[in-house]
Parts: sequence; structure tokens; C-alpha cells
Amino acid sequence: MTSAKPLLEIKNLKMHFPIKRGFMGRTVGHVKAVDDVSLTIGEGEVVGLVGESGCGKSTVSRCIVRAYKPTAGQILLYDAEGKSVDLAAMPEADLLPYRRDIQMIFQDPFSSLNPRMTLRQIVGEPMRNYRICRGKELDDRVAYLLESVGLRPEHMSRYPHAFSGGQRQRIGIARALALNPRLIICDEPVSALDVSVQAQILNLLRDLQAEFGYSYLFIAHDLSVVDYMCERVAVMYVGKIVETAATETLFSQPQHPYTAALRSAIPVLNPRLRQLPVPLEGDVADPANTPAGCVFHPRCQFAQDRCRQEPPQLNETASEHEARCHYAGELDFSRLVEPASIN
Amino acid sequence: MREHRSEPIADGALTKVEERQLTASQWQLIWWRFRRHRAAMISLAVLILFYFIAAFAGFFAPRDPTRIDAQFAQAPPQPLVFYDEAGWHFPPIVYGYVGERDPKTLRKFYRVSADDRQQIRFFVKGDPYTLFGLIESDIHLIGLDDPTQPLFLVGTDLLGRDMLSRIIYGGQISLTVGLIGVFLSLILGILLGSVSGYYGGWIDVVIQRLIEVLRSIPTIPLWLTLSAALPRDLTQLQMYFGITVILSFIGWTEVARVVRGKFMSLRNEDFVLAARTIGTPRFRIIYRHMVPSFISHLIAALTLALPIMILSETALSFLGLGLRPPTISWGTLLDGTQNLTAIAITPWLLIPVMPIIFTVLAFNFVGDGLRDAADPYA
Amino acid sequence: MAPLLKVQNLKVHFHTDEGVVEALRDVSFEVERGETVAIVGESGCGKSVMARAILRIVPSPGRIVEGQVTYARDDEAIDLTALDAKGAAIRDIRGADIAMIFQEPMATFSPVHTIGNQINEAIMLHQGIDQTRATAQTLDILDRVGMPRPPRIIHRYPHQLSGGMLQRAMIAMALSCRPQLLIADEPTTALDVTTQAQILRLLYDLQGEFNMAILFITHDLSVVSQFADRVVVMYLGEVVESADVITLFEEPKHPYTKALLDSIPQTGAGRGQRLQSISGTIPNPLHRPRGCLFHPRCSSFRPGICDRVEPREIVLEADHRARCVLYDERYAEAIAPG
Repeated sequence: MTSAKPLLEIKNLKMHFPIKRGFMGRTVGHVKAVDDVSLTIGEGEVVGLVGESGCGKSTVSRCIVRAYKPTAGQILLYDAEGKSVDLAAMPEADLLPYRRDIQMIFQDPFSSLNPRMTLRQIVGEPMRNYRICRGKELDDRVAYLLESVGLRPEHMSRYPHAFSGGQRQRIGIARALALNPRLIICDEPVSALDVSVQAQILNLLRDLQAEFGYSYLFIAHDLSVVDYMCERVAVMYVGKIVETAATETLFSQPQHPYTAALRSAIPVLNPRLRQLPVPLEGDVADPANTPAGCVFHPRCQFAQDRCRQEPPQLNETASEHEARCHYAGELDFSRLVEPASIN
Repeated sequence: MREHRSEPIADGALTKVEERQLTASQWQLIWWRFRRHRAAMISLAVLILFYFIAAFAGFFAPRDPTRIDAQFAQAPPQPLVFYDEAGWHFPPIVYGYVGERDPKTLRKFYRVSADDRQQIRFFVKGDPYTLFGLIESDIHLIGLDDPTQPLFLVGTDLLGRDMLSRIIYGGQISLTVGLIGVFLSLILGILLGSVSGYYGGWIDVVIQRLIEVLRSIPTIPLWLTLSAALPRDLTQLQMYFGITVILSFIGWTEVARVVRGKFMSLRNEDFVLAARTIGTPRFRIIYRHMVPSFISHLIAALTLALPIMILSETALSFLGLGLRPPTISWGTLLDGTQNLTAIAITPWLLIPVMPIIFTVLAFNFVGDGLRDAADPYA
Repeated sequence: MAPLLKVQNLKVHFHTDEGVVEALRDVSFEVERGETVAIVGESGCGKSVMARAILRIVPSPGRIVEGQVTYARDDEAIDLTALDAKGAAIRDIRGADIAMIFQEPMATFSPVHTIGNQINEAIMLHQGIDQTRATAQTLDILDRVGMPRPPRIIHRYPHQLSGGMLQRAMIAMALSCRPQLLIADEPTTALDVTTQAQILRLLYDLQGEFNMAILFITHDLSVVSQFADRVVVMYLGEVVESADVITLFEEPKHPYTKALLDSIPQTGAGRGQRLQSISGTIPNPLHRPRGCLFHPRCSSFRPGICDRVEPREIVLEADHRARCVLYDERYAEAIAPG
């Protein structure tokens, strides 16, 4: 799929959470938060994962860092020689050496930092854990990391409550960089921030990537942010990837009706170009009780009988472009928007 | 390339106080918040005073609490006199007793008489005592020139022992029995609660059912049964520990529940997940990230639980099932007030309820203050 | 004809333990009948406090210190700040003349009553009609906001509806008495893009149908560009710029507005163009900068002026105002290049 060497390969990942009821905790069903997701992230590549709340994109990220043990599937991490290990099935105790390769930046800059630890302790903890350095050397390294994310090293003995949301996000980034990881999972890193601060963080992430060649898995619900950050994007809907393509292609020639609807729902920042999206009907399907056939068909304007019965597969419809739709490439999405007049 | 990164933290003109805020640890923040709670601060001062007096009971008590002065059994309190017809007195004086006999019942009783004046002095020699089992002394805060003369500021009991001294010594037991009980609850609760919350599964089920069973037994009968089960021939010290264990027997269940709940919610906190992704060992996650997040809440909750323990000790001892004389506690002191005629004739025997009330109120206020201050990051 | 709502020199202060927070300092703007005015700003700019000040529901310890909010009901001008905040007069206006929808629909509805009962009650309270006719109106309004199967929905409790549906129910309740002005406080912030599109579309359609004015409070400039007729930009409790939507987006004058517009990623722009970020962070409201509030973050910062002088609001064109010394002729010489 990509020219770069693969770094992480997710194969048929499934994460089903049991629904327990009653006194004995009987399992009465499963929430299929992630249902058969496959995705490859190349060395130094920035891949976006977009979707609306509840689509399972955060669950994917949490499976990769093994906050959850996936129900099925493989998460293959490749080393420099191209040899791979499967993180999905690995016991917790064996994960330690691989954890340092994959770090995470969280959405909420408040809950992701322990308020009872100073910056020195927060940013220094990963290096303590791996016994990389200690004492004066540790302080120097923390100072360097703080500086490289735009914070003042003198503030090392402050606690997180002394910082604003954007600054806390920088602290989280410094912590993620401490182990010099290969892959950084950015889970909605700017959606909790003020508009004027979002650009700072996005630019910082881009510069760090350019300088150190990290790979990012960039998770977001905001398509314009993904467009700014990513080379390739995967769109998720109710636990499944419905479309993947290079960013420009995905936005200019979407093939899945959901991607097209998502694209048209974003307001354009231009008051002369007013358009009214024809909104999607109804609500996102319940992942505990998915509809038969294509999961998107109840909301799809283009749904045919076939869509109600036969679940579509993710097929390569053009070069490096995959879509999970029976009619990929055949649909005309222009009727998803209508121009509006300025009143 | 780099200039945009240097986003100086806009702290402009920060005062010293604010600078201190930014580097303040959890406990400092809690303390600063707590300080603003006036009732709690006053109560804290009261409690510190009580514990201080109890610690140096020998010095503060005018007499040996076990010294029997049969001559002055059931003597009423002697008021401190600062002013009388002779003018101002400082240090104050007390009037001596005159023994009289009721012509009808022939019962002997005492009256204070202005004819016999006794000057109170500070730091006088009196009954010998030992502080902390180490330092021997016979200096008392207050006393009379002549130690054989009566000085019973809150009267005497049936045997003629000084009530004030007995109340002061009683505090030693009553004020600590709750503390030790709470401490035991805390240890047991955190241990079982964290095991239950962190591991889950069948261990959790067993511990939760145990807690439910323990909590469904009515407290007073349970305590009665347990204390009745304690052998009669225990020493005072063994009895004391026996009672603390009994008191914490129920207390830990509440702590364990809170701890378990906190563990379950903290397990899903982002910063705990973050700690895992940076390879923090499991044990360190528990004691460095999880426990500090709720320990302040727990301490606040336990401060509110302390008065219950103190009251329970009092109740058990009052019923004769807790500590027993000659052990002196506020509960055993109230033992003598079980019959109504005793209260009618010697109402001052009820005075030990005063320190109980003050202590319980003070702990409640301190607990309230702590609870409000417990989460400085809310 | 007088504007529907005229806010003049509104000041709201919060008296906290740490000091006085000036949530609004001297805010003025107008809303004409039937138009959509957007109030844009980031957290702490005071936009939500302003919405609440209009309806006199500023949370404690906030207080309106100064200023007027004049509401033109038919031909009568009512100063809302002069009314008793708990009195009958303001309650009569709240809901009936001016309605409000919130970011969190859960906060509007009581969890223990059905949706139908709550909307009925609002209608009965303001219109003084009986239960049967109120129910008929409730069903009608729920139908108009695009709620599927209103006869079933009225028996549901708030927690039984999805976020988007609840938002619709809240809009239905707000519109049930046909208000002249709808205050929408971040109505789509908590929603997904596709649901946001549904709700915006709904508001757009309903506005035409009911001919009401909307005061749209948001931090999202793209929504503003698609939705508003006029825009008021706020920063730290002050209006920094106001203009009609085309002018504001095409010829922004205040450096904050300019910077904000440049810092928003847009789809289609791709990775080529680097975002212009605004340096620094929003100051703590307890430590407002001296002079211009934006000067520590401003790229056009002029030392000696911006950090000393509190800028006046300058009228640039009929309807375009900016609070910046760059456009103040009193400082023209000092600022002129060279």
C-alpha cells in the first residue's frame, strides 16, 4: 500500500465488549466497538483515522497500546530488520520492551496528566522506568524535552495546575517523546483546545515529525485537521473502516457515501460559498445491534436492496484507494449539498 | 523553524504568592484551602489542645486520678473565685468544704464555705506521675500550697477521686481508641479494597460478599457479642487493643468499598493509561498514581468516622461491655451515672460528656473542612 | 424601527475569593428582527456570560454592574437589566419572547419528567391554554423540528433520546412559544459533524419559517461563515471587532480576528500551507494585560502604545467596528512605519 517499510500492521482487529446483565453477570450480547479493522502504518508516515464519536477509532488506539486485549486479530510491530512481533496476543508482562516504541498523546490535557506530580516527575517517569538515566542527567534530559516542545525548563518543578490546556498538551507531548518512540498515537490531540491554540499544537506535531521522522496515527473527528496533518486517511463507521485513500484523493474523490456526507457536513470557511448539506438521516447505528447488510445503509441516500442484505467488503477501487461499498465509484455525490442564499 | 515552538508561558507579573501556588504540592493546596474554613481551623486547634493535654495528663491533672480521698467522697465542684469581698484574686482561690449531714436522710454531704480560702498556685509539687512511662515528676500545672487540702474543681466521684484528673486521664484512652481504630480500618480497607478493585474477578466477588454480610449485621449487637467474647482476664492494655480491633471491624468495610470504587474509576483514567504506556510497573502505578489520587478523600472520610468510634467506645464502656474500671476512659467515667438517683444527688458525674461532645463536634468540623479541601484540582 | 435587542455598555463582574473577574467589560451590539448575529470567541471571552446576562440568569457570584439590555417588544422598549431577576416580568419574557438553547440539552430537561410534559408545561405557562390544546401544539412543534413519530416521543424521558434527538427536543421547547429572539449557546459543539449539520440545517429552515432573530454563540468560525448575517468577535470580555459576515471574513481588521482566521485548518488547503498560529495562551482573567488585552499575543504589537493605551472602538464603516489603535487617527503618526 505504501512505499515506506511497514512499522505497524493491524490485521483483522476485533474488539468486542461483552454486555453483562443480571445478578450473575450473564453475557447477553457484544458491543462490536472494533469489527475487523486492518490498517498499515509505514515508517515515518502520518496516517489519519477519522470518524464520529462511537465509531471505534479510540478503541483501535487503545488496542494498539494494549489498554485492552483485543478479541481477535493481530497487531504486528516491525523492527528495523523487518522482523515482526504480534502485540495483540502478548501477555502483559512481555510487552514492556515494545511499549517504548509506541507512545500516545491524549485528547484531554487535564485527565492525562497526574495532577499530583511535577513536570520533572511526569516527563522523567518514562526514562526512570526504563532506567535510561537518573539524577542530574535526567533533569537535563527533561529540560531538553520541555524546551523542544516549547516549554520553559525553569518550570520543571511546577505542577500541571499551573498550566493552560495548550501548555498541558505540550507536557503530554514531551512525555510521549521521552522514550524516543517510533510511532506516536495522537488521539484527538487538539479537539479539547481553543482555536487559537490548536494551530500551535498542530504545527508543533508537524515540526517534530519532520525533524525526528516519527510515524503518527492521527485520530480525529475533524476532517480539516486530518487534512492538514495526514498523508493517508482511513474513515471508520460503526467499528469498520469504510474507506482509505491518500488524503487529497479522499477529499476530492470520495467513493463511500459516508465519507462524502462527512465531507459535505463540514462548514466551509467562506461566507460567499454557502451551501446547505443535505444532512444524514437518523443516528449512528448501535454497535451492539448492527443492521444487516451494509452498516451504513439505514442512513444512506443511495441504498439499494443489495445494501440491505449483503455486507460489502473493503475493496481496492482505484490505486491505493479502498472503499467498503457495493457501488463505489458509481455514485454521484453532488446532490449531498445544495447552495444557500445569504439572507 | 524553531521560533514558533518557544511559546513562553505568559506569567507576566506573578506575585510571590502565585509563584508559590504553581509549585505547590497536593498537600499544600489542601492545607491552603482548609485554612479558609474557619470552624474547621478552630476545631483543629481545640483537638490539638485536647490531645496535648491528654499526652501530658500527669502535668495537667491536679491529682493522681486513682487517689482515693474517702473523706471527700461525692464532693461537689469547687468554683474558682477571682473576686470576692476581699478583692481580686490572681491566681484565683477556691473555698474549702464543710461537711454536713442531712437531718432527714442522715446522708453526708459537702458544701463549699467562704470561710476556708485556699490559694491556687501554678507549678506546684503534688502527687508523683510518669510521663510517657519515662519521665518521673511531681510538678502539676495547678495545685494548692498544701497538697493534702482538697482541690476538686469538678467535684469527686463516689470514692472521692478527683473528677477533673480522671477526665484528663480518660482522654488518653478515649481520644486514641478512635485513632487506632481508624488507622486499622484504613490499612485493612486499602489493602482489601485495592486488591478487590485492581484484580476484580472472583477475588472481588468474595470480598464484596464478605463486606455485605458484615455490614448487614446490626452494629451494636455485633460489638456486644464481640466484646462479650473477649476473655475476662485480659490486662488493661490487651482490653484496649481488643476494643480497637472490634471498632475497626466494621470500619474497614466502608473504606474498602470507597477504595474499590476509586480503583475501578481510576483504572480508566487517561493518566493511568499513560503510565502504562510509558512502562510504569504495576505496583508503582498503584502507589504513585492511584493511591495519592484518593487518599485525601479517604482521610477526610475517616475524620468524619472518628467521632463514631469515640462514641462507640463510650457507649460500650457505659454499658460495661467495653473497657472496665479501673481503666479510666470517658465511657467508664460515665459508668457511675447509670442510676437516676446518682445523677440527682451528684450531677457533676455527668461532666465527662462535655469533652465527648466537644471532641465529636470538633472532629465533625475538621472532617467537613477536610472534605471540602480534599480535592484541590476540582 | 428600533432594533429588536440592543445591548449597551454591558458590564458583568464575578466576585471570587481570588479577586474580581471582569467577565464582560463594556459590551455593546444590536440584533435586528429576523437576522442572525454570531458572537464568536474562545473560552473565557465572556460570550456565554453575555447570553445569560440578557436573560438575567448570570450564575452566582456574577453580577451585572452596568449597562442596558433593551428589548423591543412590539412598540414598547423594555430594559431587561432594570427588571427584577426573579420577578414575573422577566419570566414572562424568558421563553415567550426570548428563548435559549444550550450546549448540553440534558441540562435543559428534567430527567424525571417526559419530554412531552415539559414542553406542554412551557406552552401552558406562557400561553395560558389548556392541556389538550397544549399537547396539540407540542406534537406540532416536535413534528416541525423533524422529530420522528412525535406521538411516541412525547412519552419518552430525556435519557431515552440520542444527543441529536435531544437537541431537537430542546429546540422544539425553545420555539414552542414562537420567540422573537432565539439565543443559541454553542448548540452544536458537543455534536458530531453530521449531527451538527442536521441541527444547523434545522435552525436555518426554522428561522425562515418563524421569522425570528438568532443570537448564535460559538467558537467555530466556519459555522459562523455559513450561518451568520453579522458577526461580533469577543476576546477576554470585550468586543474587538464587529461587521457583516462578508466584510469580517474578507477584510478583517483587528489583528485577533485576522490571526484567528489564519489559524484554522481548512479542508482542501492540504498540508502545503503552514498554519499561522497565535503565540501564547489566553491570559488568566484575573491577570488582564494592561493596555490592549490582546497585545501580548499580537503580531502588530506597538510597544509604548498597545501596552499602555486601552484602545477605543473605531468605526471603520457604517457597520464595521474594530477596537484597535491601528485604526485610531490619534495614534496614526506614532504607528506609521518609519
